[in-house]
Amino acid sequence: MHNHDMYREDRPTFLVPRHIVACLVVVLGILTACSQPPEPPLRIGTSFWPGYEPLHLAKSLDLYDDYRVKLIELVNASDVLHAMRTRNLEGAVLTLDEALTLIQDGIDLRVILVMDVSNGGDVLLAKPEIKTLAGLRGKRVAVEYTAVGAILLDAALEAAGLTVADIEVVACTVDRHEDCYSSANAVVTFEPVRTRLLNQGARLLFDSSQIPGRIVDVLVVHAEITETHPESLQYLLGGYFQALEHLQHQPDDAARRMAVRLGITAAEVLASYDGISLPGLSGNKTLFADGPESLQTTVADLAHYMLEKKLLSEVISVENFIDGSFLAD
Amino acid sequence: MKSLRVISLHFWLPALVGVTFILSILIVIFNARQILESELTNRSIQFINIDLNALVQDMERELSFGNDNDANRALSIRGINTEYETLVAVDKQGRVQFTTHKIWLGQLAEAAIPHFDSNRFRETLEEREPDFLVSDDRRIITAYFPITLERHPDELRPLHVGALFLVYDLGYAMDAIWMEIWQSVEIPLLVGLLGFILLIAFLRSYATRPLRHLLSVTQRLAEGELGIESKLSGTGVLAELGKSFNSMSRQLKENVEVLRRSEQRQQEIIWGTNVGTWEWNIQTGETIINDRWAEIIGYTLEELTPMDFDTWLALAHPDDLKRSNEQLKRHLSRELDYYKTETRFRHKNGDWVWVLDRGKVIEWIEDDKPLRMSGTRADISERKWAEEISVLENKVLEMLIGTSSMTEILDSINLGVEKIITGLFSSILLLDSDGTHLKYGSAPSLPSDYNQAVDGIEIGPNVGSCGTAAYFNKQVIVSDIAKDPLWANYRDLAQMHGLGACWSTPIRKSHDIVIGTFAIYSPVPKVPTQNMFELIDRMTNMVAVTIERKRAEKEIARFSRIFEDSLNEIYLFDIDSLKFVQANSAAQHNLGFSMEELQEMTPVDIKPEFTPESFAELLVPLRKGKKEIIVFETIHQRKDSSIYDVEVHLQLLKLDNEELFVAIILDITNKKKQEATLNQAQKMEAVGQLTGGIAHDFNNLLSIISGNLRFLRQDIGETSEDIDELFEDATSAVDDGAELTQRLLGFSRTRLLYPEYKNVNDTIEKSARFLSRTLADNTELETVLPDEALFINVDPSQLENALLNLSINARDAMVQGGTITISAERYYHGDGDEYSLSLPEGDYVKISVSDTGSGISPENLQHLFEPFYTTKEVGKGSGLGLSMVFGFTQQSKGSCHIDSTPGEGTTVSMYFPEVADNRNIGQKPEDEEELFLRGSEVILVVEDEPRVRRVALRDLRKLGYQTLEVENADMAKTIIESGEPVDLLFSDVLMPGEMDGHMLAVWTRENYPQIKILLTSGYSKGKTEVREDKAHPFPLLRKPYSSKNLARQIKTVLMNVS
Repeated sequence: MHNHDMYREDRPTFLVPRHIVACLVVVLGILTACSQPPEPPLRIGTSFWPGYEPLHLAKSLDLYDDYRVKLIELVNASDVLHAMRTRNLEGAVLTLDEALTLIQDGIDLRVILVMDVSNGGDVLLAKPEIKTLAGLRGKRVAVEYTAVGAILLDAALEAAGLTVADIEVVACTVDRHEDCYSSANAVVTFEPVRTRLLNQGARLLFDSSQIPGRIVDVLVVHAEITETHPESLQYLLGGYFQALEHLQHQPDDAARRMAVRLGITAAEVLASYDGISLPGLSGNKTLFADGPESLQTTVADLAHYMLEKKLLSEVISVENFIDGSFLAD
Repeated sequence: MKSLRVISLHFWLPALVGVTFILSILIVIFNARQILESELTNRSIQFINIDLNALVQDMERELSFGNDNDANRALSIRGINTEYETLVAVDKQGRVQFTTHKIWLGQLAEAAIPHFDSNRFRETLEEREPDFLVSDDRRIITAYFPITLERHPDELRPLHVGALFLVYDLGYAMDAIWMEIWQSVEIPLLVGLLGFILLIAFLRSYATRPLRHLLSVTQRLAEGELGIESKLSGTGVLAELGKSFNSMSRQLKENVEVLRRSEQRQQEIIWGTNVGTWEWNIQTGETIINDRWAEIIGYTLEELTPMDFDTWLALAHPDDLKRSNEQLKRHLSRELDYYKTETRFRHKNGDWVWVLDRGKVIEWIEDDKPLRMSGTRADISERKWAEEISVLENKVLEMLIGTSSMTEILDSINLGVEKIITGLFSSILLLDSDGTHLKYGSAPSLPSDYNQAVDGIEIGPNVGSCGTAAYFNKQVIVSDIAKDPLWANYRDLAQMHGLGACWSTPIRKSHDIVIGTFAIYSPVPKVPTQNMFELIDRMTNMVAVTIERKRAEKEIARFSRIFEDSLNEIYLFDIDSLKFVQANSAAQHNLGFSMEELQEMTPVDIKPEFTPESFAELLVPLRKGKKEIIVFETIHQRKDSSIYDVEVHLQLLKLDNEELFVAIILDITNKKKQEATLNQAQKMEAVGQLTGGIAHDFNNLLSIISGNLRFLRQDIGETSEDIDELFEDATSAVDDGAELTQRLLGFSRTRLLYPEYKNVNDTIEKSARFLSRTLADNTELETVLPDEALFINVDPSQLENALLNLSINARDAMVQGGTITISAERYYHGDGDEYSLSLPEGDYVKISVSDTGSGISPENLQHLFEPFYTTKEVGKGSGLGLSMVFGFTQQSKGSCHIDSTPGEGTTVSMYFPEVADNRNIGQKPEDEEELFLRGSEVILVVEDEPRVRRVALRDLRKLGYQTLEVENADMAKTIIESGEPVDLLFSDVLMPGEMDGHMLAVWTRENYPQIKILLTSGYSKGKTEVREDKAHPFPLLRKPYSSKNLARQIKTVLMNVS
C-alpha cells in the first residue's frame, strides 16, 4: 500500500510534528520546575519544656524530614528569642508573652499553633520551711525575667496579698532554676525542674491552675514564612498533630521516647503533663476561632497586662498576629 | 554499481541534532557540577575549619571558667546552621558531653551517632589535629576537632581532651549547585530547543516535505498516474530534482502513450484477426498467453494461469501432438522458418477445437539454442468444421450419383456426422406413407435395442424429440432428456441406453412436407452450439436430398417398369420428325416391330386411317396448346397387316426442355364388344321404361274393368250358368291381365318388393304352369316339391320372375333340349359356409332350378352374377337375368349359388329364410271374415282418377264405412284441417299437384297422428323412396286391388295400434 495521500499538497501541514512539540513542552516543564528552588527547611527553635516535646516526639517518629523541618534545640528561651530576632530561625516555640516581646522588638510574627496551656505546669516552689505564700515576705524569690515568671509571681503575690516590694526578686534563667532554688528561698519554675525540685522536698505554694489561660505556649513564625513556606508549615503542623495522637493513644511508647530527652522516667514524663493541657487540632481550631476563650482575647489581655506591668514598653499591634489558616483537617 | 545506502532524513537528522545537543548540554552540566562541587567542598571545609575552631575556643574558654551551660549554649547555637546535621562534643571515653540534640547526651557516640567513626576519633585525639572527610557521594563532610574539655586548675595544660564531631550536610549546597547549574543552562537549553524546532521545521518544509512530495508523485507515477508533475519550485538540488521528475514524467507519459497506441493497434489487429497470442520460454517452460488464447478453448486467462508447456500438452489432442512436435522440432532446428500447425485442443466443455498455431523463435542463445518463441493462435474450428461438412457432403453426393442404396448413404451421413461431432450419435427416422409413424432409417451408432424400440413409433405432440418434431414439423431441442416433459414416456428407455440429450430436426421435402427426422443424441445433457445447428441444417438437407433422390429413383424405376410392363402400348415420338423415340414392350410385342424398326417409323405408319397430313392436322391443337390431350379411336396395323381397334390418348409432354408426344394406346377390341352389350341393356332399359308406363295405365284400366265386373255381377244377381261363366272368364282375363302387367313391371326392374307369406310349393306350381307354356317342346319341366308346406316371406311375383328367368336360362343352355327341374326343400345353414352363402345360421328354404345343359366353365362361373355378363350371343339376352336373381335373393335376406359341371348341367339355388306357418290367417272362413272386415269409421279417400275413386268408395260404403272423397292432396289437407272427423286416410300416391300422396301422409302423421293412413299405388317408378324412407313407413295397397284385399288392408290398418 502506498499511502501517498498522506502527502497530498492540499492537506494542511504541521511544520513541526506534534510529538516533538509535546516532548519539548515536557522538557521545558522539567527545566522550569528545576529552576524553582524547593522551600528551604524550616528551622524551628525549641527550648526545654514538656509542652514542646510532642514536636520532638514527631521527629522521633520520623514524621519530619530534616530537609523540610529542622528542630533546633537551644538551651533556653533567650537563645531562641535571640535567634528569632537575628532571623536565624524561621519559627520558634515560645510563650505567648515572649512572642509579644518579639513583636515589640519589631519582629513581624504569626501565631499558627497553640502548643499548650499551662494548667498547673508553672509553679512557685519554696523551701520546705516556708509554708504559705505569706511566708515569702522578705524572702528571696528566684524568677526568670520573663513574662511567664512575672505573671506567675505577680499572681502568687496577689494571692498572698503581697507586692514585689515585699520580697527580694532574684533573676534566674531557666537553665539555672535548680541552682537558684538552692541559693534562694523560693523559685518560679516549671517542668522538668518542677518535678525534680518537688522530689527534693520543695513546697508548692502557687501554680498556674490558679490563673487558667494566662500562660500559653505558641508556635510562631516570621510573617513572611506563612507565604514562602505554606506547604512546609502544613507539614510541620500535620506531624505535630500525629505525634499528639500517638501520645494520646500509645502514651507508654511516647513517654519512653520522651524520657531520654527529658532525663526523667517514663512515669515522670506522663506525670509532668498533669499541669499542662495540650490542645489538639479541634482544640486549636476552637482557640483560633472568635469567642470569649479565644486566643485573640488572651493575646489582647496579655498585652494589656504586660504593658501594665511594664513588661512591654509600648502598645503593640496584634491585629494580624493570629493565623489559623494552617490548621487543616 | 554499488548501492548507495540512504537513511530516513525525516527521522535521523532531527535525532542526530537532538542527541548532539543534549549530549553537549549534559557534558556542560557534568563539568560544571564537577567544578562547583569541588569548590563547594573546599569552601565548606574552610568554613567548617574556621567555625569549629571558633567554637572550640569559645567552649574551651567557657569550660575553663566552669560555665558548662554556656559552653553548651555556644554549641547548640551552632545547631541553627542548617548544614550542621550533627554537632557533638565527645569526651575521650567516647561519650557525648555536649550536643545539638539532647537525645544523645551522655551516650556513647559510636553507638548513638550516625557516621561517627571511633578510629578517626582516636586518631584525632592522638594527633591533636582536625580531621575532615568528604563522603564518597559528596553529600556529607565529617569533621573531628580536638577540644580540651578540662584543664589543669593551675596550669594551662589540658587535663581532658575530647573532640568535636560534626556531620556537615552538603545536600543543601548540592541542591543549590544544581539549581545554579540548571539556571545557567536553562536559557541555552531553551534557545537550543527552539533552534531544534526551527531545524525540524526547516527540514520538513524544505527537505523532508519536498522529498515526501517527490516520493508521493513517484509512487503515483509508478501506479500509473502518468504525466503527474511535482510542484516543487525554488532553487537547489530538490527543485532541480522536481524539474527532472516532471520532465521524466512527461517523457514517460508520451512514451507510454506511444506504447499504448502501439499496443492498442496490436490488440486491435489481434482482436480483428481474432487470434490468441502466446509466448514460450523454451528453456524454462514458462508460457504466457493472452485472453483470446484461453477464450478459444473456453477458459478465462485466470483459469489457465500460470501456464506452462505441460498444460499446453495436456490440452492438445494426442493424435495431433506428433505432427505439431515434428513441426516444432524442424523450426527449432532452423529447418523451417516458422512453426505452423493445425491441432485440436480440448475445449472446457469437452469438445475439440481446431486451432492454427503459428510461431517463431524470437530470441536465441548463442545462435543455436532457442530461448523464446512467440506466436499466434487462431480458432479454425469453423473452417475445419466447414471443411469436414463439405467433405461429408461431397461424399454423400458421390454416393447419390453412384449405386449406393439409401440406407448406405444415410449410414454414411450418420457416421460422418458422428466423426465431426465426436462423442455424439446421429439418427435418422423416416415417416411412413400415412404420415403417422416413424420408421427406422439409420442410426448405426445407437444401440440396436433402442432403434428397435423407436421403430414404428407413432408421432404426437409429446413423443420424445423426434416424434414431436415430426408432429409439429419443427425443430425440437431437448438438452436434458431426464427433465424434459416431452420425454416423460421415454425417459427410462433413453436412460437405459445412456442418452442424455436429443436434438431432432424434421426432414422436409418440397412444400415443407415432413418425411422424417434427423436427430443428434448426446450421452450427457447438452445444448447444441451454433456450429452444430449449422451442421444439423446442412445434414438435414443432405438427408432430405438423399431420401427424395432415392425415392425419385425408385419412382422412376417404378414408372419405367410401368412403362415397360404396361399392357397398353405407350409411344413417345419426336415433335418434329414424329419418329418414335421410345415404345414399350407391349407396343413392340403387339405391333410385331422391334424398337430399332419403330425408331424409323412414325405413327402414320401404323395408323392406316391417317395420312401424314391428316395426322399433322390432328396434332395442331396440342402444338398450339389449345388442348392438353386428344383422345380418338382408330385402328392399328400390325407388321403382319392385321388390324385392331385402339383408343389413342395423345399428349404433348415437356421433359427436361425436350418436347415429346406421348401416345397411350388402349386396345378397345373388348370395349367395343362391351359397348354392344351395353347398347342391348340400354335398349332393354328403354323397353322396360316404356313397358312400365304402359303397365301402369293398363293396371288402372284393369282395375276399372275388374271393379265394374264385380258390381255388374252383384247387380245382376243370380242368373244363368252361362252368364256366370262369362263373368268368370272376364274376371279371369282381367286377373291374367293384371299378372301380365306385373311381369312386365318386373322385367322393367321398376317394381318394388312386396313380400308376402307364401307357401313355396304354391308359387312354384303356379310358375310351373306358366312356364310349361313358354318352354320349347323338346324341353321338359319337372317340379320336385316337399310334402309339407314351406313358408317364406318374399315378393311372390319377384320369386316367380326369378324362376322364369332361371328357367329361360336353363332352356337356353339346352339347345338340344333336356329337362328343367324346379325343386324346393328345407335347408339348415349351420356354422360351415358350404357355398360361401354369407348367411346367418338358421332354417332356410332352398329353391333350385337345374338343367341338363352344357354347363358353365369355371372361368365364366365367377362372372355370372355381374351385370351385362352373358354367354349368349348379342341380342339373345340382356345379361341382367342372373344379376336380377342375385339382387332379389340378397334383398330378401337370402342368398344364391350356382353349381355347374360343364357337359352335365347347371343348378342355380336360391335360399330364403323360412318363416312360421301362418296358413290359419289366410284360411279364415269366408262369412266370418266378411263380418270381421266390416266397420263404421270415417275414411277419407284421395284419388285423382274419378273411376278408381268411385270403385273404392262403393267398396268401402258396402263394408259400412263412412266416406269422404277428394281428388287431390291439397283438398284432403283442407278437409283434415277443417276439423272433420277422419279415422283413416286412404290415398293414391301419384297425384297431380304440388303435394303427392306420400307427402300428404307425412303431413298428416305429423299433424294428426290419430288418423290412420293407407296408401295405394299402381306404379312407383321414381318414387322408391316412399318405402325406403324408414322414418315414415306407410302401409301400401297395390293397384289393382280386390274388394277383399281393400277390406283386409283397411281393417288391418284400423286395428293396428300405431
